[in-house]
Amino acid sequence: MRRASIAAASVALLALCSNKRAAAQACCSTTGSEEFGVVNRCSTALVAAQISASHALGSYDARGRYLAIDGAVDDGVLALGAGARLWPSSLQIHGSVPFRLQRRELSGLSPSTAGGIGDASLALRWTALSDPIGAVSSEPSSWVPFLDLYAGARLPTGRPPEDSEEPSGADVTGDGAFAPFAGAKISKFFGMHHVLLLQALYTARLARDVAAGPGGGQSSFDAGDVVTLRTGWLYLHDIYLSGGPFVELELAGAAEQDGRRVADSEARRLRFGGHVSWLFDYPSWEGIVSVSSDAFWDGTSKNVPFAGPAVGLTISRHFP
Amino acid sequence: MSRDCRATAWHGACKGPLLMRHAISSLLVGTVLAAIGCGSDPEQPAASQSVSSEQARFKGTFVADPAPAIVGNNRLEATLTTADDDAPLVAAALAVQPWMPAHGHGSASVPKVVEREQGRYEIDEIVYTMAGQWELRIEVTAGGVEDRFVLSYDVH
Repeated sequence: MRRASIAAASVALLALCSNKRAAAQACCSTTGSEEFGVVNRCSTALVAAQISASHALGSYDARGRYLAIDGAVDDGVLALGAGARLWPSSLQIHGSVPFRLQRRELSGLSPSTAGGIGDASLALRWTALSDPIGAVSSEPSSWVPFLDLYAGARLPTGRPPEDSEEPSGADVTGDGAFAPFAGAKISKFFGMHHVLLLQALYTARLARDVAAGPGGGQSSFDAGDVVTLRTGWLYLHDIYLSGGPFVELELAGAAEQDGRRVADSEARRLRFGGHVSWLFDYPSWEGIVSVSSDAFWDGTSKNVPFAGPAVGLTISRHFP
Repeated sequence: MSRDCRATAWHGACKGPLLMRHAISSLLVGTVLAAIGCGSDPEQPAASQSVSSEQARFKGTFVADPAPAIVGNNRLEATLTTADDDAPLVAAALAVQPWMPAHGHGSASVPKVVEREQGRYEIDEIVYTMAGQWELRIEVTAGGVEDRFVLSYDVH
């Protein structure tokens, strides 16, 4: 049995190393593997489902202090995603819709569970540069990486806080504002097994109308724009199995209400985690397990109301 | 009185030197307590605060329960008087709204107000749905006069 496994792995590795097609297979696991709903390099389309759960253990205040939370705050998300290559094939459209189930057990309140559709997102993505992956292809070694540029928007399809009816806020599933975004991702192979991932994303959270006070009236609220920086490393064990860790830093600017800056409203969040991807029915079916968590020490984050670990399981069907 | 002044005006004091002394003494006490392993928070405001309304028409003393404020249900006792002669503000109408300025939202729960004694009001069902800086906006109408208080709480 063990000998058969070794033989199978050797064949897979040989296939990975042997030719240009193998190079293409290797890079299947780069873009897309840790991004939900994104078509990987070997496919023309994809549908995916993801279940994830997060549990809040604490929060970070405006001075960056981590404080444990008293109560239970648990979120479950079922997300459906899809993507398809367009013409030219370096261009793709992808999107996702989350369905959220949220439980709140807050001090002095009855436990409540509520949910609904969250904020959907839609994006266009263009692979501007391609890494020739010189180590396994016939092309010479190069420092050219994969470069993906993308732009899209998060849509206010979820229930915003101002429409909440649950005292605990368990039924709040969206931000209530359009959020156009643009980003770039660099994936650079080093040899055939190691990939460095660098990603930067800018999200503009557009203004929305909110209540001006208990007596009524409307006010314009503009949440601060967000810059997300992410770096990771991907290890490609073979054409079936890959995985690696990441670190993500999210920086949100100050909010404004009626044009006036809200004091101490800037936010910062540092998360780390990793994923393992398994193409269990190559090349069609892929399973991805991911874990992530906030960094639980003072100063790493600020103004984060709920911080804690999260786990996720994604099943994707790729269409070659 | 400026908004910043109101937000930090504990026990009616809003003068630079006094605040400075308060901050220094709090810092010293907090450092000592931290050194001996006590978990108290030197920067956390006291449960009780006395402030003037935005247009200085009313004065109020507010006692939060619990203190510091928590994610979940909170209560507040408000003792309101006129600014001119410190007369109890009897049969005033209070509209109360918890508000998270950094996120631009409040909470679905509408706080309930009951006048327990002349000028003393109990406000219940103040729900903060998440940790962070919250404001408690209290609009007061009494004898045809309107004004509002804005209290600030660091919710854990």
